[in-house]
Amino acid sequence: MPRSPVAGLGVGAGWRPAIADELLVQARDGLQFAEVVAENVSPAGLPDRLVELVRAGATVVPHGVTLGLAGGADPDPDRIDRLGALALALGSPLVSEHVAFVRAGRPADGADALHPDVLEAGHLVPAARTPDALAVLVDNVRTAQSRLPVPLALENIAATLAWPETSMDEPEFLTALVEATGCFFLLDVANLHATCSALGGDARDQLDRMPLDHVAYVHVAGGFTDPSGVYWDTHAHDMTGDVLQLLTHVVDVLGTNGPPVLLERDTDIDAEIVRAELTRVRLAVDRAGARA
Amino acid sequence: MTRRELEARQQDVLQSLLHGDLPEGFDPRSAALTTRMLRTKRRSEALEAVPGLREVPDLAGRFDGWAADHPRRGCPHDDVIDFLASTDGPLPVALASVRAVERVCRGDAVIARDRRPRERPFIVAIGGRVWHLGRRAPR
Repeated sequence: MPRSPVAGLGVGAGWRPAIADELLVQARDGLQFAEVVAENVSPAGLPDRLVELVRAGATVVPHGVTLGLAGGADPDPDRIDRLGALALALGSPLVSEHVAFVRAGRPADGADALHPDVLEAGHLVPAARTPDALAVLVDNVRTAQSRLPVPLALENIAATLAWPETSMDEPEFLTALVEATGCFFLLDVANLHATCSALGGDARDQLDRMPLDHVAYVHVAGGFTDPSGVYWDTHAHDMTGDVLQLLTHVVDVLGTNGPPVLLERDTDIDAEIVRAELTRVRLAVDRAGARA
Repeated sequence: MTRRELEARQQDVLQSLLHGDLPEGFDPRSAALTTRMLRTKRRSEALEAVPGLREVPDLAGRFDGWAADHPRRGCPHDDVIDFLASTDGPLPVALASVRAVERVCRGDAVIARDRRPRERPFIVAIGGRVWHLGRRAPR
């Protein structure tokens, strides 16, 4: 079982400019773990307060959202190199991305380079889970791994789309992926809850069949459940009880000194909100510890 | 299925979803949820880029309707400008000025009034060039 390169770092939060000062305060009070969206910062000019956070002792993981490794296209080497450069600039022990595609198509022959025949999804879209799609994903992940200076962790996304040709469930697919590539698994419990609410399935059953021995760290985030019962992983609302209970179960399984847990909050965000939500994450983690 | 075939399949399905169509063979509920997710994400990013969009009447209906026929060509700011240049409905004064100016810059109009403070009040297209004319209002 590969040990997570960030094991034992406790509870952290995604770095956002609106809470940069709050995370610095928390780092001086023991916060050791954070993550930054790779596309929002430049390795050549990191924000001062992000650099301060690293200097304060926090481990900051670059988290990419545009590689689209589950896409049919070859991964863009420039995007991979940029992710790697960020890891070096931040001194990160790993980088993370998603099991998703984010664009499709390729420039037509002779097409204007600025207007290629490429559709941007603007978000993370699940690919069909078939052996053929898995083979392309594995190939893309190996390409990324060969260019990256640090290990790669890949995250399960919040999926609402069920492809008719899918022949593997998500735990089978992700387990085959980590076994074929040796990548780490970034387990997002809110995404798992969202996927099960939209497409059916029992989150705990699926969770227990995920490649838990490869978990690098755990994501948790807020959202809401609409009247039809679908949970929307907004990163703009407070966490729900369902997600926190799932988090406690995960920590029960992985151990309280295992992979760290990271809170993602993107909008409707300020220091007070994040402080309160981090307290709720720590309580959910402590509940697992209390039962151990 | 080869890599190229997978790519083509993903492109077809994504095109349908962005347009709000049901890709062949897909569960309608699942496709509708995904279209909703993609549109909400795009609109949210536009709002984050230009918070003044919140004042646009029926923003969700108008922006999502426009987005269905206009694939993303750049960043969220590009989306906002493209949307404003295309929409004909009522807009707050500042955004209506952005629309008017953009239409002149795109060659869709020859003259526009810019009512934003601290901007020159007239935009005129003459001989393939765009001129910003008039005195700026004093601060």
